[in-house]
Amino acid sequence: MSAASGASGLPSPAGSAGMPAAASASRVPAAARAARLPSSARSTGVSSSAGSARVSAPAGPARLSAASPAVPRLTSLPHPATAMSNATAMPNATAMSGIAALPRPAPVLSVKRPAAKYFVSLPVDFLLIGGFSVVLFLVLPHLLDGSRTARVIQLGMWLTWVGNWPHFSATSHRLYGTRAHLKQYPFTAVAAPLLVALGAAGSFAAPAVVAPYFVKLLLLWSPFHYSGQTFGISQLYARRAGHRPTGLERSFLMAFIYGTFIARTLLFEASPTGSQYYGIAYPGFGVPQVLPAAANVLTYASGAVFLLLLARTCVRERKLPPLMYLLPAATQYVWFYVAGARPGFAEFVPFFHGLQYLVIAWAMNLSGKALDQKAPATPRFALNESAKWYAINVAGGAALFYVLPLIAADATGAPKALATGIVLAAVQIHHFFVDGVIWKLKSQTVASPLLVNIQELVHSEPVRAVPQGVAA
Amino acid sequence: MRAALLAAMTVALAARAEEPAPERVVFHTVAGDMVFALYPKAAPKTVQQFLALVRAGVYDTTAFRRVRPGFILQLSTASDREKPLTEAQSKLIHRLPVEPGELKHVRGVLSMARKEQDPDSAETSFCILLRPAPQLDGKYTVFGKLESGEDVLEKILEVPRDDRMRPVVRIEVTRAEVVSSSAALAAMHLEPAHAVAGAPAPAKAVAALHAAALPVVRDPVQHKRIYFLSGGLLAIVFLGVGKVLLGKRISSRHATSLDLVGVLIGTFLLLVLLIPEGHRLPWLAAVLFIGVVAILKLLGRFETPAERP
Repeated sequence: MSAASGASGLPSPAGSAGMPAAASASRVPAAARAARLPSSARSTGVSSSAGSARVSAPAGPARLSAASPAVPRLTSLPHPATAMSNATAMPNATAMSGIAALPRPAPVLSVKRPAAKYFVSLPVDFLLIGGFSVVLFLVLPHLLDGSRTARVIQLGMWLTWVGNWPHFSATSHRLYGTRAHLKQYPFTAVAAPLLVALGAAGSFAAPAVVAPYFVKLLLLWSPFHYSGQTFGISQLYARRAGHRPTGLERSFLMAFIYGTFIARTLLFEASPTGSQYYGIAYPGFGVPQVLPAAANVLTYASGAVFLLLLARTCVRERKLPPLMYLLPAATQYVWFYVAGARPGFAEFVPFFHGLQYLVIAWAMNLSGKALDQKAPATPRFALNESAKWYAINVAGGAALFYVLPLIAADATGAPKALATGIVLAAVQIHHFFVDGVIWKLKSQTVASPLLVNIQELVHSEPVRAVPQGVAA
Repeated sequence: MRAALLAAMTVALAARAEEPAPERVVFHTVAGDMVFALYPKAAPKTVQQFLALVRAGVYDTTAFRRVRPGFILQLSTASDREKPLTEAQSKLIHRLPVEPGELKHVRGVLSMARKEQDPDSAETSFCILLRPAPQLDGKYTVFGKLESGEDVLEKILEVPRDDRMRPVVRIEVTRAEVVSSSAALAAMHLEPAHAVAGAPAPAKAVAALHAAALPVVRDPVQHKRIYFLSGGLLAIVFLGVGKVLLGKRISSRHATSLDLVGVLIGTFLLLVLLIPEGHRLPWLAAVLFIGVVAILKLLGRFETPAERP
């Protein structure tokens, strides 16, 4: 089940992050934008000089050298090291390669404070990014004995309205919300909905032939998509903490995260029986029995090697491993591996996944809005913008997941359950497709205010640009 | 130490649960006779009802309606049998609570079928496992095992099936009976396995499926499947032609995106085509699964801007 989905046997969520700042910010002169950035976003340094922008990283944990290892390709989240509005300010820079890949930094701006480690603060970030779900997992057996009772299902459903559905809406809002994004991603804006609509139309026309496989695609893509988000967030916090994982460390972390998805999915796919999704019976693959066990071993082995490599780095650099770097992977492990023992908990996983996404998308949306206005962001401004953004996404989520299936059932004459299953699959596949595109840091116009700290953003004053060497 | 103790206890419990009842149940089928041993200690309610139903003749003229090689052979529900149930027989059928127990789903065990969302909905339909299925452990009731008649299973598996894994001829249980003990069973004449009368030979299965008399040919699902696959292939062809015609008028970024659209459509068609085949060939299923995951990863390149030199 993702969002409103419900594949039995597997958590099948969805989501990622996104931010509309790039295009809107491009209307503001780069220097002016940089001057209004909070320290966390500025810490990587942004400047523009006749189109040849360069970045200067301050001394301290956020500093990234030109010799840093190549930045990974994130499935769903942009690279965290790219400063807000970096890409728009740097027409010659490849956003994905970010700061680390720029050959010869020629700093113009310096800042006094290092990058913020958190979007808000350690406790808030910890709870929203996964800590809350882990805590719930631990206390749930004492509250509701951990079983999937009607009460739990109902509670999960309500949380879906306010947490999971809005996160789907946030993706569409970002892509279709501005003309600039439509121009930036013409294929995604047109091809993705067209393909998905074709799949949905085929499912309505031949429910016994196409719909089971349409649903199957959804249920494979969904946990894959979760894994992409998990990996992206862990990399984001690594950069925020100034932790530079080696290529090997990153690979093993990725193997562990994707391994949790593959091992768990294979366990289900060992049976050809399949299950049902809104009454649509879909088949299993029927893979050999040995595969789930092998994937399990590989997943644990990857996790162990990753921890060893991390420990080695931490010992060498004499520092503790960053908690928020480990949290996303640990959270996914709980969601995918351990949650199976408590079916009641699985009902809440889509909510927590949506929460992860929303906190990042919210921070990025707010920082984008802050860039667009001429004056510094005030608490009232932040509150208004946040409330407006959230309200739009709650309404959008309800429209996508509640109203649209009703309209589809009415228009096609299909049974409501079938129409709901097909439309929900379509909405989610569209989300996965679009999300995999719009967050790419390779895009020169995708600015990534991922190092923003909301408290600093809201309280920041316009900052004086300081020539290199003058700053402390 | 504690783990070893726990393991030993689990083994002991499983051994106790596997202690069979003295009675045996014989299913006389159109492919030969099968003998089932039952586990009353593992699933007391299920065994009690099963024995009562067999004695009352409820399982007579039922049929094996679902054959999934490498997974299960499933008996239809009693309501689906050839001869309608009498009122007295109907009254004997009750919903059974799931009795998960310690027993594992291994080849040959009998496991009660039930509704996916309702663990306590088992009544009369059950499956014979054709290979281990650990994903079912603890979720479905194991209540017995196939004691003899493996060769009968093989004969049933030889019967061609339609797209929905239903045998093309009826694999009927002509009669079921309870035999009071092993000694009584030894005195019985059991019919050996033989080919199911009326079933086309496996080699001729394809031709048989196309014979007008068989329901699968008239199945509109099959036609829709062909149309859908053809439509998908046509879309891939159009994409290719479009890309050739557009030539250098589209950027490499968009050319890659067009290619990936084709890849996604092709992947979906392969899912539709090959997942059912994978049920026969588990390693094909594995390749298909890994391939789909790889394609999802590849889709990350959709509409990616070109790197600057």
